[in-house]
Amino acid sequence: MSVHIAFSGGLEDLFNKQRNLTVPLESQLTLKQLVFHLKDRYLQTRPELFMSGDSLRPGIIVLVNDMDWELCGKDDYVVQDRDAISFISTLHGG
Amino acid sequence: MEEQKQLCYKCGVKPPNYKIRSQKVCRDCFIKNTEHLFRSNLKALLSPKKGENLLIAISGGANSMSMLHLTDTCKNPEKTTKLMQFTPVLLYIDDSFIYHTPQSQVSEFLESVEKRYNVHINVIKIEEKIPDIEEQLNLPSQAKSDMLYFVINNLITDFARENNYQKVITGESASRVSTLVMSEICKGRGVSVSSFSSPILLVDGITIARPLRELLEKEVAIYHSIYDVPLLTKLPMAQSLTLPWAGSMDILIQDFLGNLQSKFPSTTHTLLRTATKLIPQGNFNEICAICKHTKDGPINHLEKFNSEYEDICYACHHLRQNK
Ligand SMILES: [Zn+2]
Ligand SMILES: [Zn+2]
Repeated sequence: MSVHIAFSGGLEDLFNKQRNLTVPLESQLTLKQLVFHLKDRYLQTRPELFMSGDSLRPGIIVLVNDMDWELCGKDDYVVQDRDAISFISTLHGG
Repeated sequence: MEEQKQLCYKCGVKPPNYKIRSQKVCRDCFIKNTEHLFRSNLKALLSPKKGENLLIAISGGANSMSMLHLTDTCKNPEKTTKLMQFTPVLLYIDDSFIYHTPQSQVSEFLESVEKRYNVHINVIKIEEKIPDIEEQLNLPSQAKSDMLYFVINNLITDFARENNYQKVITGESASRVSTLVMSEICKGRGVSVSSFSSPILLVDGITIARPLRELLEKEVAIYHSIYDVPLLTKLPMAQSLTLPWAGSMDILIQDFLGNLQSKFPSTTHTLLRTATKLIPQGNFNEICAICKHTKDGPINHLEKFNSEYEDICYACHHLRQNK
């Protein structure tokens, strides 16, 4: 299975300036596990702007198929084949 | 998936897409709410008249670019029946010299904005207006980004004054304004809290309004992602190598308030409501030469900060001392 990932609001700068990624997955992951997977395999720089402790940095908004992750279980949501998952940073420059 | 079964609080028909201030809202209602709130704010703050110039200051960030998109909806008959007929004038203060953004990325961004919104963008290169900017910003990261913020604001007001634009809008969201309020208290600009939090400011005879002041950054983020609004983002200057979070005061405060906001949904608005009521006692008639906010004096005889530079406030004195 694979999922489509989109980064915006500056997060793309942490992922080699890529705004879109297709990420193949060998097993089913929860969103929390997916965040770790992205950090381990794809993140290039400044991990503190993507994660805080063992979870996604507060202030990053996640949409799963245009649905707020707060409405679909957040960390515990089980990622489905071909999900479109957007990570949007709200961190200001400066 | 219990939560998904409920319907949008506004229309009661569609399944919700987003949770905003603990309310579940569908995509269409979210867009309508956001655009309506923006238009009524803009009208209430500035009531821009037919043919009147409205200077829109953009930085490339999510807030100001969403503001540009929202301003565009004021002139779109598909979005509103009460079209506003002001003339938008765009201003981009190009700080790529400071952030080392490649020039090609900047021009590509500006071109895409001009094409999409059918406008011309006035560009001011910071290093051309202020040749010693590198020297002025030779500061630790927090002081550097504070100083840059003031320099940019001053360039915007200068441009407005030189070209006789009376009305300006800037893109501070509710979250950004509340972060500013808290961080300026910590940096020593408490005397100016009411102006940092105000939705409207009068600077050198120019009216500067913040029509996004009622929108949370989550709302701004979802809005720009829905419309794929062009952005030119910059990573925060402050870096931390050893700490789990990035090190600038503004980022720490933004995180802190974001956390509070997620647990207590009225935090941001209550904070802003309170801040606008904090009016300093005493006579403060002078304006600081750097931040253009109220210039305060020493509060006791041990503080002698005004002996060195007479025309700047307590907080800006510390900016200078950082050198
Ligand atoms: Zn609805
Ligand atoms: Zn000052």
